[in-house]
Amino acid sequence: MLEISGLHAGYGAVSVLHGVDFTLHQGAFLGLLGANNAGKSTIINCLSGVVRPTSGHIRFEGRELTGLAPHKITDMGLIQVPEGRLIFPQMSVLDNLKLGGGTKRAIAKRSDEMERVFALFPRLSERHTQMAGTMSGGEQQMLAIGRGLMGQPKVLMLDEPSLGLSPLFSQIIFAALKKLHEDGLTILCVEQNLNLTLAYSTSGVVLERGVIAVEGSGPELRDHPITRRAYLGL
Amino acid sequence: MDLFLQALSQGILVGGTYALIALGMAVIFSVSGMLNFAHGDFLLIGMYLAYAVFLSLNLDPYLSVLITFPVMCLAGAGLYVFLLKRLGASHLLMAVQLTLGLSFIAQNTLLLTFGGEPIRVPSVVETDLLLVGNVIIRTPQLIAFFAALLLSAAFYATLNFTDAGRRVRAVQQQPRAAALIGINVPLVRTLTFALGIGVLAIAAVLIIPGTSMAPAHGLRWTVIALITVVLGGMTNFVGIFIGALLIGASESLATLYVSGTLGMIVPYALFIALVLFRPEGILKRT
Repeated sequence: MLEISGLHAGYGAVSVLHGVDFTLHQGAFLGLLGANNAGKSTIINCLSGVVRPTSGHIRFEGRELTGLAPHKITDMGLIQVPEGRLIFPQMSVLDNLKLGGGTKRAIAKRSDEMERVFALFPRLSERHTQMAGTMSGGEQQMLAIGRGLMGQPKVLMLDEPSLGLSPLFSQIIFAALKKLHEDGLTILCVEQNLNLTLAYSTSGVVLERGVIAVEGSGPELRDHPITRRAYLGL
Repeated sequence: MDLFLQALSQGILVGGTYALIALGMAVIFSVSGMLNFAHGDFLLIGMYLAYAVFLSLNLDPYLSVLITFPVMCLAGAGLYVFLLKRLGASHLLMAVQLTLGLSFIAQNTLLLTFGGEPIRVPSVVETDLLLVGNVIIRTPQLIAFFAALLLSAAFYATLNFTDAGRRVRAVQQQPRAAALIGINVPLVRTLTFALGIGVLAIAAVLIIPGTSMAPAHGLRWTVIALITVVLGGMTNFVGIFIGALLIGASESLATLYVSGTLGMIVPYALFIALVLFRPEGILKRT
């Protein structure tokens, strides 16, 4: 449902992606893996329209996405949960969630979706009046995912959801993602944490210096020499 | 005692209008991080527009706002789309320079068009007075205060309790995330600029009855708006409203009790003291 072909992108004179190709199929839970600076976040930001690719194509349900503004892409159902969570700190949990469900596609189902988010993360329900900025990192990550879900995503893209979280909270977050996947959501997850991601996702692609080095299922990737090279630089 | 009450009530009533002007500056600052140093000059443009409408259509300022408000909204949107947006968020100093430059352009254009003589625009209520005990209250100031209070309350409620207001706050707090959850960030910024400048058209007609205008007054209004916004804690609308009343009252009381030019210093001295001892603004919570 999401096809990326020949994607090149960079920042000013520095080019980061050198022709990335991969496909995200409906119902997949794909891990986009790689070391720091491999270009993972750049890919996800190209998909969201935050970074303009220098060349290449992104097709979502047959429609070309390159050149569209971020809010248009979100409104089509391709929704990113950004790195560092970026919740609205001086607003209540409830207001954060309401904002996530404010798009044309999602607004009619806003209260139903909020019930589902609260069922997935009961902690958010307990804290719904709290200022989002005063919550712990793990709770903020729950809120960021909840806010993304409120927009009725067809594909949910997450950028480093385990960043800065304790192992326990990371497990909780990934368990929630697995549940969403089992309920039919298509997920693209950018992660540095290889083992965690491969334990929950159905397949993965490993990015190395701006190109896809290897792709395959979890067990294939875990012990693949190229994966080890991509991570350890051996 | 009567004199004190007279000065206090006058200052508080004037403060209401200050609040409205400062709110315009604050909403613009909150969504774009830009301080509009031509704010007072835009207020004067609003006043002269009301004057021009009076000259050509013989309309009372209270009615001409129906014409000047949309015009000023368009000017605000244009200011953002054609000038400030192009600078980008990383050039704050350039935005300051640009708005300062606009201030000179606005001031001199008004000077060329209307001349430098102070002008008054007549209004139906201009000379009406109310007597409360021994305190004389000028009707236009009472109208201005309650109109400003109502508009500020409406601003506050919209911002805090509606979807549109939540979007504005989202853009203010985290523009990147706002775009990712489907908010059209440039549109929100354009509309906020339009409203922030548009509200000056309303403030203009509230000030006009009983006050004279001259092109050189712009900077004074900019300074009042600026210190009010800083006193209030930049984006705290309740703080800004209280700060405006404080500035108005101190200005009015100082001219009564401190002789001559020295009295005009008092609000600014108060401002400096507050910035030194409470840099976060008079109300802590934002």
